Amino acid sequence: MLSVQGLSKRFGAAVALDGVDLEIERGAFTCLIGPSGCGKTTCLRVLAGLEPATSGVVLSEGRDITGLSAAARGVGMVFQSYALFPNMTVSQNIAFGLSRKTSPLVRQRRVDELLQMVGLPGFGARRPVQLSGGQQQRVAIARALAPEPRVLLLDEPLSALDPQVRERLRGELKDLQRRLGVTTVMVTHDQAEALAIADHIAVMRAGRVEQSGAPQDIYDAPTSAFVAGFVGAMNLLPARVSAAGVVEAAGLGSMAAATAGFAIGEAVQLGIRPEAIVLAPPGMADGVGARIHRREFLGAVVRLDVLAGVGAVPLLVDVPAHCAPLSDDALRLVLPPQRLRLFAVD
Amino acid sequence: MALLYCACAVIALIAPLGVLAWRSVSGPDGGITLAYYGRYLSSPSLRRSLIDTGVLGGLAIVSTLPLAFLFAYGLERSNIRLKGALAAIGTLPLLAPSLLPAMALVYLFGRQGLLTPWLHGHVIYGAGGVLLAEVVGAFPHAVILLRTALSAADGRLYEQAQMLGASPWRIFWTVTFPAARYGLVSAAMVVFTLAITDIGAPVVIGGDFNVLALDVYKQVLGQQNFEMGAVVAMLLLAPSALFMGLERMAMRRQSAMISARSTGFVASPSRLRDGGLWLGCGAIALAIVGLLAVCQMVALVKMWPYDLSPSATSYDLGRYDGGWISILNSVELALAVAVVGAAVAFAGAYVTQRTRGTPALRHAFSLMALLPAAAPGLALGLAYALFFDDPANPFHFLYGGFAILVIATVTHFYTVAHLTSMSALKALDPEMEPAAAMLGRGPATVFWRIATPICAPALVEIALYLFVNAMTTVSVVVFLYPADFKLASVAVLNMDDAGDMGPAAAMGMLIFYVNLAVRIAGQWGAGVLRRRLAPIPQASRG
Repeated sequence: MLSVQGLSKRFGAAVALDGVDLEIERGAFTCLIGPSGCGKTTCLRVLAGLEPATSGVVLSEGRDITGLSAAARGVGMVFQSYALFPNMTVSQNIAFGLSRKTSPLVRQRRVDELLQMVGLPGFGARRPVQLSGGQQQRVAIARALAPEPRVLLLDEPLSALDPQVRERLRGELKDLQRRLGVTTVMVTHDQAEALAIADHIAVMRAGRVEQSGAPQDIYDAPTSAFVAGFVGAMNLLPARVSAAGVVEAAGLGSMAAATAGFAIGEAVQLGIRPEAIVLAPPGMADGVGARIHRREFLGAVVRLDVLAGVGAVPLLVDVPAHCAPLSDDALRLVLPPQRLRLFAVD
Repeated sequence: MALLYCACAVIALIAPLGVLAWRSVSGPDGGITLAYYGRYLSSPSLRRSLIDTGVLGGLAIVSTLPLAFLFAYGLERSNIRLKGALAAIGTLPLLAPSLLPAMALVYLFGRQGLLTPWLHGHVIYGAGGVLLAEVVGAFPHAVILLRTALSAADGRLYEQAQMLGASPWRIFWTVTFPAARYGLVSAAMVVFTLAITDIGAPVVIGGDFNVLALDVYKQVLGQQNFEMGAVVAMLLLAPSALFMGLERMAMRRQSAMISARSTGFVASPSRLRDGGLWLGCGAIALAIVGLLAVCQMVALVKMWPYDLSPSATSYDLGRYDGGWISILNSVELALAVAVVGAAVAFAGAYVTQRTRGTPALRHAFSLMALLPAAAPGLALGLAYALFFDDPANPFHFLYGGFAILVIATVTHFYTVAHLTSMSALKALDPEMEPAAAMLGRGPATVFWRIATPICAPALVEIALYLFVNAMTTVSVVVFLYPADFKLASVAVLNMDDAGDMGPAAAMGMLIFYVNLAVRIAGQWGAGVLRRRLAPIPQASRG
């Protein structure tokens, strides 16, 4: 329903957006993620109409809204700081964007309805300082939804909260979005948050969308070493395609992998997720030899920092906590060919 | 909006000062000449006053800073009693015209002073008297700056120094003093500028001691010599511009001294230190109250110091030129200056800081807003007289009216009003305007419905500052007030000049009381507004 084509934005000589293409589905929860400075917030602000685009178009239901003001786009936004007006009550904040032509009674009814919707009935007379961070966020959402926007934009709405609260609230945020069915675009730098909450993810890098798709697809089938490294953890090793279906990883030796799309002799990056590496049962001669350099207990899993192969290549290996080797003695690792991914060298 | 503000700044500040500079170098034939400067510098008496002014400023720094530092240190870094009362007394001189302390000194140590015999044949008139009066006048300004510098202590540094076994003396010189050094520089600059630009004390107690400010006053009002007046005003403007520039740099450094991770400082108990500070601060407070009390007594007795029986004759102000009306006039001016100045400065700060269009104009205005602090009141007043007196000037109609007094006074005190507005607005979330824009409301709505209510306490404080200063200033208005609109502060000067001691003291103290009442009411109002805006949070984050 919202479609972005070739969007560019320059601030003087600095390029913030460099030809962004994006399709945002109706009713879906889309996350824009990327490292800081990748242009995700600028992209959101251009969608909101707060920044004019240098070039490119924004279409809403096929209608060009690029030149429209923020208010005329039918878009609501929740800011990183929530930007609640501290001198107004919760009710006054929510009513701020309602048309002054409607009667006070109608406005009050709408405010009550919104408070009910975000789970804060009876909070109307309070001031923002009297609310917790999570409650403030819900007021900010109610205020953004008051004029019935077609799209809700969220700029890092969880970043101002403590870690435990953040995890609980992202669940609530998702529930609320699903219940209201409002098309939502959220910007975050936290890839775990995006994986947990989004129906659709767009990974941005240096002003462009590097890859977009469902969270599982992005995680399982990253199309570039950058996406692979940004979303989840990924071991990336320099390697070379030595024959069809065979790669030679520096320090590890030859192994089978899908090499379609790469020429024989081409330098590549070989990627494998830490949890995809398998510890060979004791006594087996399979795989590569390795020794444990350091181990991190993460609760459900233990992350082993190992030095593998003749080249003592550093690798991360996640094993379920109950399967972790007890000693730091030599062990053997199996890198399953179907879990190996090749990426072009940047 | 930014364009409007720039245009106003040019008319109210840049153009008049330009005319002042131009008049100081334009010869009778219309060409450029340095003859006036030459004539000034070749006159031994005038050259003498140039040197004396510099010496006076320097001595004012060395005498004021130790006292102000002691006082500020006592208030910020000790556990002495009655801090609130001491702090309030320390700022009292701000509420009185700058000539009041000088008058009090004359009543005590002048030709017919109460305590003159103690001087064993010496008199207070001259450099010593002016210096003393300037110290009293500049003291509160220095205390305010030094308190800010000392209050910004990082408690972690003190804990660390103690952990490392440093003695209190060593901690003072290695932690406290370096942290306050920019505050000291900034206070020194302000004291110097105040001392050299003041006109009240030299007139009252200067005797034969001449300073630049007095030269401007005499050249213009005494000899009607505007060109020479302009020359002296330029000579006065140059150092104050330089020093206020240095002051701003010091202030910027000072604010960088405190980091976001600093923790508060709590003074450790020490009877010796607190006892000493209490004596010092108490003596200073007593001196200030004493000077004011002397003025009040002079106003209430029959014939100071010969007949000390109570009498209200001094309050029969109707007998004097201006009289009671001049107090009303001053209040009227001060109210107008407070309301207009606070509104204009706040809206100007909003436009410069929080709107997005015309960045060049906004930047230009924010620079021009800092200039008034560098222009002494006498120089600005004379510049206005020269600029608006010219019949060819389209704004000539303002000359000799109430409006020009308001404009000149607002302009003179604009910098502090602007900077206070700027820092009040800085506390406002920068996402307020985008948030409102998303809901279809522009910056004007944010200004009225959000920024103004939130900054209301700061606005009251700005209005208070402007009111008090408009009541007490002599220098800006002395060349500008119309004959039918006498002002109280000028009336005090004239009465004192005419030898009417009692009425001058009565009028001076009236100004003081009006300011005191307004300040108490204003601070109470600001407190109410502040509490209304920030109810105690009931829940913490999360």
